[in-house]
Amino acid sequence: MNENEKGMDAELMDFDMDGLCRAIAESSPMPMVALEIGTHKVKYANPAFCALLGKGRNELVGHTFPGAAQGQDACLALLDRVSKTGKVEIHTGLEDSPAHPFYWSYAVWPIFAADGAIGGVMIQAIETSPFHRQVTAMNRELILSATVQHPLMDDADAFNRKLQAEVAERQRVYAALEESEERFRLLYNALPVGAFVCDREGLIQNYNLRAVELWGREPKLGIDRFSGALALFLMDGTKLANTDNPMNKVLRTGAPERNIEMLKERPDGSRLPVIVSYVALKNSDGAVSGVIITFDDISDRLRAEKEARDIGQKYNLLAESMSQKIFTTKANGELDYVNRQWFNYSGKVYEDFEGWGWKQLIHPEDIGFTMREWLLSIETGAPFEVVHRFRRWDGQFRWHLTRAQALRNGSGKISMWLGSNTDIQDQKELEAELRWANDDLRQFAFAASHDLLEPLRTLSNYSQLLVRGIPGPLSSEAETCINFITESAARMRTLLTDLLAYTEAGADRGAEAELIDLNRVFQSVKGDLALVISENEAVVTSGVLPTICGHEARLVQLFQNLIGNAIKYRGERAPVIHIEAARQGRDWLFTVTDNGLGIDAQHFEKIFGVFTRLHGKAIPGTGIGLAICQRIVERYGGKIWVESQVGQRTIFYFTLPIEEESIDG
Amino acid sequence: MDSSSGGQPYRILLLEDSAADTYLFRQALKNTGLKHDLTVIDDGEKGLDFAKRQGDYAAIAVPDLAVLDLNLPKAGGAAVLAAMRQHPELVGVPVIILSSSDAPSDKERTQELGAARYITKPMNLADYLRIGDQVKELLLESRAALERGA
Repeated sequence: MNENEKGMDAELMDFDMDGLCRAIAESSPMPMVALEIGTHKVKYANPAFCALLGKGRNELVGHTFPGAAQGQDACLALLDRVSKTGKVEIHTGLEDSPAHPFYWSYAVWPIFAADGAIGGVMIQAIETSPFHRQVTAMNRELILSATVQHPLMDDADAFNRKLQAEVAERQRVYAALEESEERFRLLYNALPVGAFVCDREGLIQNYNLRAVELWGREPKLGIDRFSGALALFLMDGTKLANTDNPMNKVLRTGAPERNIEMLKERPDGSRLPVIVSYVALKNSDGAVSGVIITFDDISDRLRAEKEARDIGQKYNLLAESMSQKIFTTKANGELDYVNRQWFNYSGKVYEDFEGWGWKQLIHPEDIGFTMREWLLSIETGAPFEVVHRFRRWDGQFRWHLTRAQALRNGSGKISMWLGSNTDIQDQKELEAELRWANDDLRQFAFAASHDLLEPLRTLSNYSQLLVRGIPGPLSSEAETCINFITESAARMRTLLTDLLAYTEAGADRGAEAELIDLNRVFQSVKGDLALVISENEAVVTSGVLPTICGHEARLVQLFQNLIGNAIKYRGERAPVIHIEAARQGRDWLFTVTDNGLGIDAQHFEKIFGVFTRLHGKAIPGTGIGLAICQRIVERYGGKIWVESQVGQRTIFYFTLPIEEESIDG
Repeated sequence: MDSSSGGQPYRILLLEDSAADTYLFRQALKNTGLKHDLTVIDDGEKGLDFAKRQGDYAAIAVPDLAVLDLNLPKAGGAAVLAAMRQHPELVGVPVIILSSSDAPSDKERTQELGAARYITKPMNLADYLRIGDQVKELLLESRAALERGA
C-alpha cells in the first residue's frame, strides 16, 4: 500500500464508510442479511432480502434467520464454520427456491467487531443464472484476499511497547479496512446494476463494471458527471433541465430519489432508457458528502410493455370497430367489459351492464333459461350458447345469438370469459317468411293438383256433353265455341299438372339420394320414348355414362325432357341425338347434342324460364320442360346451359357432382 | 235383362257431393241398360250415418254396390268405407272409389280397406260414361260369387 492509497483510506474513513456500505446495501438489488453469531438472529436485512422472502424488515430483524430456524444442517454448518474460521465461504451449489425459480449463490462473510473478534456473519445472495461463472471467479479472489494476513511490523521498537501497540492497532485497522474495501469493490462490481459514487460537485469518484457497460465507456474520475457531458433526457425526449436533475435535489435535501425513468445518451449518440435511483452519502455529522447512483437498462421492460400496450390497443380497436356486440366477464361471470356497439344498441352506459346489470336488458321470459345456462357454463367451463332477446334503446326486444368461451391461464384455470351477441332478428324474420312462403307454395301445389282441377274437369265434361247433343242438337257454331272451352280446359289442366311437376322437381320430399347408374336411366328413357323415336326415325345414342348420387325419378325426368325436346324440335333431317359425359374437375359435364331446329342465341337464357315457349301450336307443349331440367340440375348443385346454331345443331350442357366414391375409385 | 232376373233392380249407393258428377254418373248407369235403383248421399256425415246404420240413414237398404267419392266435406269416402267394413251388414258390400285424386297414397289406403276398384274421374266425357261398364261388371261378378257361395 503506497502513501497515496493510505491517504485515500484515511479519507474514506472520514468519508463514513458505514454510511456508504449501508447505502449500497440498501439500494442493492442483491439480497443481503447480517446475522449474530451463535443465535443466528437477524441483525440487518436489506430491502432486496425482505422482498425475496416477502416479509417486512421488522418481521426479520431480531428473529432467527429462517434458514437456521428451519434447521437446515448445511446452512447451520456453513454459518458456524465462518463464525469460527473467520473465512469467507461461498456456497456455490445451485439453489432452486420454489417461490423464485432462479438460481442463487450465497456468500457468507465474517463481520469483525472493533476489537477484531468475529461478531457476526453477512450472507449475500446473488442470482447466478447469468453471472454464475463471473461471481464464482470473483468470490475465489475474495477468499484469497480475505485470507492474506497483513504483514506485521517486525521492526517495531521493542522498547516502545506502547508505540508498538499503537502501530499494531493501526495496522489491524488498515487490514480490516483493506478487507472491507476489497469486499466492497467485489460486491460493487458484481452488482447487476450500474453504480456511481459522486462527490458533492456531482463528479464521478467511483464506478462499477456494469456502469461502464451501460454507459458505453469508462467515465473519467473526478471529471465526468452522470448528468453532465453526456446528457440525460426525459422519457418524452426533452432534455432534463438542470434544476430538475434529481442529483441536485438529493444533494440539497439529502432525501433519496428513487426509480426515476429517463434516457441516457451514450457516446455513440444512442439513447438508453434507464431507471435511476439517487441515495445521499452522509458524513458522521449528517452532512451530505456525495451521492450514490444506481441505474439499470429498462429497454427490455419498455419493449415488453409497449408490445403489451400495442396488443391491448389492437384488441380494443378490434372490439370497438366490430359490428358485433362483444363482452367479457370475470371467471365468476361478472361482466367487466362491453364494446361500444352495446351502448349504441341499448342506449345504456357501462355502469348499467357491469357485474350482473346486463340481466335487466334480457326479455323477462328469457331470463330463466339464460341464467340457468350461464351459471352452468361458469361452473363447468363449457361453452355458452343461447338464443334470447335483448331490449333495444327504443324498447323493442330483438333476438340475439349469444356465445361465450372460457379463456384459461397457463395452469388451465379459467381466467375470464369472452363472448359475443349477434343480432339474429332479421334472420329469424326471414326464416319465418321463408317458412310461410314454402307453406303457401305447398298449399298452392295441393290446390293446383286437386281443387283447381275439379271445376276444370266438370267444365270439360259438360262442354262435351253439349256437343253430343244433350239435351238437343247444337248448331255447328255453338259446337266450335264449346270446342274452344274444352280445349282451354284441357290446356289449363296440362299447365297446372306441369306446374305441379315443376314444384315437385325442386322439393325435397325427404327421399334419400341413392347411387344411380345413368346408363340404366338412359335405357329406361329410351324405352319410354320408343314410340316417338320410331315415329320420327330418330337415332338416340350415348357414350358410357357415370353413376351418380341422386333420385331416379328426377334423373329420368331430366333425360326424358332433354331427349324428348331434341326429337320434338327436329328439323327436316331424321333426328340424331347423342349423350356424352366427361370429367371436369369435381363434376361430370354432360352434353346432349342434336341436329334439330336450333335455338337463336338471344333465347339461350330465356328458354329455361317457366312456361317459356319459342314455338306456336304446331309443336305442342307448355314450356315447362327445360325449367324442370334446370330445377333438377340446380337441386344437385349443377348448372345447365345451351349452345346452338340455328338449323344446324343444339348442344345442351349440364353438370352434376362426381360421386365421392367414384373419385377415390 | 238376364242379370235382373226376378225383376229386382240392383241397389246402388253413390256418395257424391257434386251434382254435376252425380248427373254424369246417372248417365253412365243409364247407358248400361242395367235395371237399377240409385240412392245418392251428398254429405260425408250422412254417409257415416249410413255406414253405421244410425240416424235418418239407418233405414236405407243394404246396397248391392257402393260408389264412394273421396273428397267430401266433413267425412270422406275412406272414412265411410272404413265404417262400412266395421258393420256386419255392410262388410261384404263391394265398393268402387271414384275420385278426382290420382295420388298413389289414396289408392293404397282404400285398397287396404278393401275397395274393389279405384277409378280416377276422367277428363274426357266418353271415358266418364264408360264408368257404367265397370259398375255393371263388378255387380255381375259379385252376384255370380254370391250364387256360387249359395
